[in-house]
Amino acid sequence: MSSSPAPAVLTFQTFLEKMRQPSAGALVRDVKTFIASLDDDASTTTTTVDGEDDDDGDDDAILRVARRVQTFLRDTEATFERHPAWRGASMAELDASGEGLEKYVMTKAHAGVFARRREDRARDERLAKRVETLKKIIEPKHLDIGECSASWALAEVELGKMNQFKAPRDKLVCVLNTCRIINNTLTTRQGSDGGADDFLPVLIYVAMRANPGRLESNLKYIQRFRGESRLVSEAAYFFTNLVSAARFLGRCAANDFTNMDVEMFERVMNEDGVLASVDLDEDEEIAETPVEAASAENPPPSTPPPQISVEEMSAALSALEGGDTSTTPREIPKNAGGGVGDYATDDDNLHTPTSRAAAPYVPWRTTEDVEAEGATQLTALDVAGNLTLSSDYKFLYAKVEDLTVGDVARLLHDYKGLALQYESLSRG
Amino acid sequence: MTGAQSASNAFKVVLLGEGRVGKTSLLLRYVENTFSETQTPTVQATYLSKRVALENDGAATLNVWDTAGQERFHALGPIYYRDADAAVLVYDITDSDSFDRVKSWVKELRQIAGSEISLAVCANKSDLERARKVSQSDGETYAKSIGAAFFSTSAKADKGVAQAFMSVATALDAKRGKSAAGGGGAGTKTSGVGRSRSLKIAEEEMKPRGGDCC
Repeated sequence: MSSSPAPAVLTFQTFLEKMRQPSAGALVRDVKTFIASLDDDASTTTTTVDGEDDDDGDDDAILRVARRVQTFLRDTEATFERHPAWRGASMAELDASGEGLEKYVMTKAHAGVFARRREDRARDERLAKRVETLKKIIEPKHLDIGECSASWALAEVELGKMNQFKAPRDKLVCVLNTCRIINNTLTTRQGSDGGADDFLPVLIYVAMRANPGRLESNLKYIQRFRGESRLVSEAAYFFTNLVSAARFLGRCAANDFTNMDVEMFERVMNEDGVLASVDLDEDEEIAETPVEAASAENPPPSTPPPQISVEEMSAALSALEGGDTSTTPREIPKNAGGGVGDYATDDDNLHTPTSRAAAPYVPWRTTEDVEAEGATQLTALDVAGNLTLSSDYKFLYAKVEDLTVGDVARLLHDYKGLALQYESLSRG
Repeated sequence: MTGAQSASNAFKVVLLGEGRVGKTSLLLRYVENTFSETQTPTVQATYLSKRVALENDGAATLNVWDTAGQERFHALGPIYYRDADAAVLVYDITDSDSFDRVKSWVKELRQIAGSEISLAVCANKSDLERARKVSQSDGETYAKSIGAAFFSTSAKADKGVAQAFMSVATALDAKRGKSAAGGGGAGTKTSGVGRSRSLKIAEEEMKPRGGDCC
């Protein structure tokens, strides 16, 4: 099984095409029944969410939902392999269908399980607030980061996009893109061997600058709901590094930094009330559930599932299709300049850049496509030392304290220009 | 996560070692050897997935995770090695602090990851014999006491690197084969790690020595 998310467009359309076949009718029903049963679970959690002491129970409920989702995804994907609608399908198509299924289910389930607990939301806010203060204090030198790269601004943007997506895969792609951009700048940098000693400090710095809202909830959501067979290998590695970065930001003290003015650090952190560490729960393992136990937890509905006509099903799927394929993040290839062939010795590897470059099935270029390509070019320029953006974008590297009131007019003007440009590009 | 990896005989291996002991160089050396003919351009040095052909005609995939070795990140260790199948602990023979650091990691690994995790110790920078601070026998004795395989390595001179990873792969494969076969004997020769490893960790060696343990 490949751990590599299949190309986005192929993913969802393959899934939808297969599910539209008349022979898939029963499967579509199963999927819908399952999603409806999740809604029931979610409404159970809603009733307890306002209770004083029910947070733990609520967490258990979400873990239970996660186990059910994982089991359902795994079983349904296994069904694809022997289902008539997938007869003759390639491994890539099967994988794409599995991805599509995950996206479909989780897009529906998202509202019921993402950052559900009041406690989760409060913790997310405390972490975000702490990081906001750290931003005022921490400079690259405090983490022994020798040389900065303009590409890190792009890495920040990628990470910030996590909250735009509902599917675990799409959120994960934002994480992987962030890490790849950083890696691309490190591997070719002088005085760096590009290993984890160099990578993690930069990821921490980028995560701090980006300070994406609900960071901890996003991490938990990915961990719980990304298909277990897909959160492996390189994806697992980079994901774990972000978990690690979040943990560091939640706990770091003055003596975790090089040449930090301890008195200043503690004073500023205290002023903002964020000196204490934010306790991030130990990430629970989603225990391997034996098949028997899983099916016992998920009894077949006592009433027969409602009959859904093929027309209804198609209409529902079309509606979904229209809404979602365009909002999938594009993956950034591993090496700047479209380098290929790196260490691709095993079939577990992620995202071979060649398959993206070819991508004959991409019917149109979305804003994300254009942006991903541009980002790759920018990274390449930056690595080669030919990136000079500071003359065109006066504030790109500015810190808050560099700004004066007089800058507001210019900033506002630039902001409006950018917003309109982005909107025009998106619709063009 | 671990469950899914077993499907393709894949193993998670974490690289632990203080900053600048040459963890990443070992990893890079290991990758470069694979591709010496093809002259790869830039190689990502944080994560490596490599299919290894074993002596018993089997194959295993090593997913090698580099970790940041700076002291400030020490507390983050468990996030990385919690579900690892093996840990490769690297120290610099010219830096006795880095050797103590390895010992403190081993203590933690035993506490958090249990005795199931396979260990290998690499005494790196063996090309710098003249500046040696940690004797070969100290390294070997320590490795033996914790049931770990021991390797004298030099990323620079390309000594012992491939052997170290090969031994880890062989040991992990034998162990998995053994557990799958319900404890039947594994026929392959393993260089110390596999069969002896999971047994007794000499408790007397676990008493505090370094003092830099958290």
